[in-house]
Amino acid sequence: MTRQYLFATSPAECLALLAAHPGARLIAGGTDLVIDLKEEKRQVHTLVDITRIPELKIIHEENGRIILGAAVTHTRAAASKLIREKLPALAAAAAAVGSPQIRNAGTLGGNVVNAQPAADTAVALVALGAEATILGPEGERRVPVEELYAGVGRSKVDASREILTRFTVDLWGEGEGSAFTRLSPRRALSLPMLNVAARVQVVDGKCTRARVCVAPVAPWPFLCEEAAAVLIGQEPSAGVIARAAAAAREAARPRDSLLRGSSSYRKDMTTVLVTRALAEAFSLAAGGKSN
Amino acid sequence: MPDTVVGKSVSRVDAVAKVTGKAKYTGDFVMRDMLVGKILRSPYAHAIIKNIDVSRARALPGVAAVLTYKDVPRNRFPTAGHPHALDPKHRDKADRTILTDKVRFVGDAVAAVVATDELIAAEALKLIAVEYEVLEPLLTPEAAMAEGAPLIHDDCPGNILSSGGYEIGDVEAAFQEADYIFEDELETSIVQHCQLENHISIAYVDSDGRIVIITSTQIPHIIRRIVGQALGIPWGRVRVIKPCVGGGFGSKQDACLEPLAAAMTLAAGGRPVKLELSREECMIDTRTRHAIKYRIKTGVTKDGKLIGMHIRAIANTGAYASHGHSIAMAGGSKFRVLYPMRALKYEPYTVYTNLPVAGAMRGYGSPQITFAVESHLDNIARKLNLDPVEFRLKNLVQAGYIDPLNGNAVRSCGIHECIARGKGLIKWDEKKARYKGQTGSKRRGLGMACFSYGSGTYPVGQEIAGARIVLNQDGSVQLQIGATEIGQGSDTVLAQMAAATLGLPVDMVHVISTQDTDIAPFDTGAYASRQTYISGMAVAKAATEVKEKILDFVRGMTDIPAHALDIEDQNIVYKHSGEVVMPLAEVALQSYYDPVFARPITSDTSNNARINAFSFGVSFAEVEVDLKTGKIEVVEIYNVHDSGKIINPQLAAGQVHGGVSMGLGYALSEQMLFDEETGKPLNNNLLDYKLPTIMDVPDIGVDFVETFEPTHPFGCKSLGEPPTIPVAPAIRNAVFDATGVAFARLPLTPQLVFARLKAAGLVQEGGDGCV
Repeated sequence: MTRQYLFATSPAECLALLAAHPGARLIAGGTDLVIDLKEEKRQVHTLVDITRIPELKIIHEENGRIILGAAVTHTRAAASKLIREKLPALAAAAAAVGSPQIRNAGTLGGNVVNAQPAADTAVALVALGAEATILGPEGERRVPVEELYAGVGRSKVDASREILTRFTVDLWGEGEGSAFTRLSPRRALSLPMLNVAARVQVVDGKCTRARVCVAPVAPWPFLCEEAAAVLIGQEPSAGVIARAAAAAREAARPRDSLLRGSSSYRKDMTTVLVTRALAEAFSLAAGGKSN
Repeated sequence: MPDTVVGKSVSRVDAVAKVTGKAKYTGDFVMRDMLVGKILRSPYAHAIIKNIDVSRARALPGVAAVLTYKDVPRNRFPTAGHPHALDPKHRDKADRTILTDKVRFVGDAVAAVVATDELIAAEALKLIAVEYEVLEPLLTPEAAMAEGAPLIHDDCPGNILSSGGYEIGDVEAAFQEADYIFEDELETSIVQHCQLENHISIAYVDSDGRIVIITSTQIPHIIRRIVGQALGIPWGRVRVIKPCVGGGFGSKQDACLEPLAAAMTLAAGGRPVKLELSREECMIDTRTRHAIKYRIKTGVTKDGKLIGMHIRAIANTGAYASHGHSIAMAGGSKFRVLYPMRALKYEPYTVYTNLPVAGAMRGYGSPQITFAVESHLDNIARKLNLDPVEFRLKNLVQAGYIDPLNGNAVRSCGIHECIARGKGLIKWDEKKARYKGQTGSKRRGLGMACFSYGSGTYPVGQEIAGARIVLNQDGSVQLQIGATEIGQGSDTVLAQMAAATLGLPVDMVHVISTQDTDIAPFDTGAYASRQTYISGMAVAKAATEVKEKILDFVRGMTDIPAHALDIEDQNIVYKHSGEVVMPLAEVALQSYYDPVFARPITSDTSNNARINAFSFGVSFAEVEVDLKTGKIEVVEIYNVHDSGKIINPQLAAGQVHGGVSMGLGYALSEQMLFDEETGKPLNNNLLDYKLPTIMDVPDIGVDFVETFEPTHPFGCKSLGEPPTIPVAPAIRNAVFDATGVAFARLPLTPQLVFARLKAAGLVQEGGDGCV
């Protein structure tokens, strides 16, 4: 049972509190952790709250990069003018999470560290090529988000001794676009049957960079390099998108779930959602408006 | 009767109490020394308890009592909320004991703990050691009916709870004469009520040694009887109090908690015990809606007349009888008046399985059979190349029809007008033409479905209702009724009826909303869409009696004959001229304090309504189907109802909004899922069970065709359950119209729809064929 609830005011203090209370664990929005505690899936005697650390809540642009504090809530990510304009895939993913109450509490960092394969904002962050900054007793490291996963529900960020402080997304500049699509059985309070985020850049009529993330088709957000490989060097067209979507379908390994959908349905839907995400991302890259 | 009250959208009598949080629900009763009860549930779908050791739980400090089947009376009792039948042959199946030595579904109650708080109770549950002999779980009616299948209840061979049907005319002869024969198989899923307030009861023993149960129920008087039966004590030793209730939809037309709550307080020396289910518990161990499989064979003539229909139904009733036998029959009888035909044969089988208990849920068997029949009719219409509306119009009932089996008559019948209005609202003809020959990946379609329904249960069930009215000194009245407000608004419409009869504004009618079986008049409760119709008759009768007594008292005061008088706007008036004789308040005061003639005016009335009235209605839906994903969007939906005279239009529209939302979930997303091997529930929570959110519900169009039902003093008929009945088939028929694929089961989830579209060649491999 949880007996102590502590507030850290800086990342350094957070590490100190964790070190001083072995077995303690970080808590941000708590939208997943509190459920686990209630259901006794985890036993934590001390929680260290990081939502009052100012630098964990920043959203800004500097030197061609977007910096997002790990404790930025889904609500803020979804509403931020900067994010909606520069990283529309992330804004759309954040808007798709749970319900207003959950979005008000849940954070981007939590969505990644909780390590669920189809966490909406994690899927977007992977497609965007976000890097996570992690501060621990040994110092600071920067790791691409897709490399933070050790398995379903298992993160390489150790929330009992480290803190994920921020995400950094490099802006690609001219001709970039990103989009997020999702299939779910209802419009709110619903885990996705499938979600896809895509980011592309088109220079001189050719796709120069592409990242496509599909979930849940693997134990973690699946960065589909096969789909990206089809796109790079090509002129964006319905045919190219269809080939990339077919490559994603081929690479996807969704599980059969009575609750979330069959493997074969989700494989078929991989084609549809990748097609839709890429079509929108290319449209934005060409100067279109996000829908 | 001059009407300034009935037919008006007066505010709910409990609106202020509810929005300010002053309304008291069961959970708001906090008592000194109150204990908490919790239930240990079976992890197996079918097993015999070989041994159960509670010694460690009993030894835990803070534990007041631990109960197993050995510690409670072993009387077998029924749980269905029906009036008690004097004829033992017509009684509900008594297949429950308070706790069981044989578990029949995952979640069945094995043992119970009473402790000083929830944490200790939860801890104590973990200390109970149970040894099970696991039996083969029977999760489908087919498995349960298979030869050699183990018996879920020893006294029920073949695991068939009931199989009685009927035949009107000679169905085989009708098929001989038919020009066409059509056959379909259709099925529905198991869904849950998801009422806002979970089941909760508080029980204690009062100073006279009687058991008092405060409980969230639709049927307080019936609960008294069932608790008496379960404990084997005289029914008068039980007192049941029903405070505000946060919805039931049928799941509280059943004794789910009360017998155990009573046993808990008895085991704890009479201290108050609160037994409250979590949502997760509520979804497995209260009641569900029956999944029913239908095989329908229909004979039709060349000119589109239905002449014979044979319906076979297999209902999955789960582990205990509850209302199971009665639901299959009710469904089979209420729909049949809609399309009278020469021959109709109905063959239902209600089958026990090792799944949660199916029972009453809004519509009581009608949503299932209406889905099946109305889908089947659209399949036929398409094959005959008839417009679905035209096909129905050829076969619809007319006023004057009498049901040949139960003698109930159609005296008011607005279904034709409902259809005409619905067609107009959705622009049926115009859109039907516009959507012909669509080619894109998103296809629009229109669908409709009709229903008929009863008002109450007569003649199958007794329809007794009670009302009591007391005239106060100031000319206001107390209205006490036996039937129960559970959120549907019955207190308000009944107050309107009393007010209209007595010439009062509604705020001069003080409704006593709490039913306490010690003092409330007898009424069987809130179910079968019976309150406005059945309880309304009792209220009108009581109010008329009070009015007669008032006018008679005025005669004593003035010598004006009572028949020349009336009450209007709180005044006694001359009936012919409207001239005021005296204020009602003056009469009221005199009735209390006249030194010689004082005789406070009251009425305590019961009404045994040996009558029924059919309500009708229709849903029209427009959908857009995404062929690439199988997702269905309901673009427009209209429900048009003939519920007779509408007493309170705003409350009535609210009923329709709620019912349509429930129907949308039934059509598109809701179903309880179980592990196919073990019967473990997979989604007994509101995240994984896809009840529609407000984001998923489109604007709902509501209209009423106000006929006047002559059997009711105010001309009304049922409305509580009906709105949910036609929604799923209307949506299914719209999807059929959009895609040409005849879907045969609910819910129409994207995955199911996509698979069928793919099989029909509407989606090219990989799902990106259509652009």
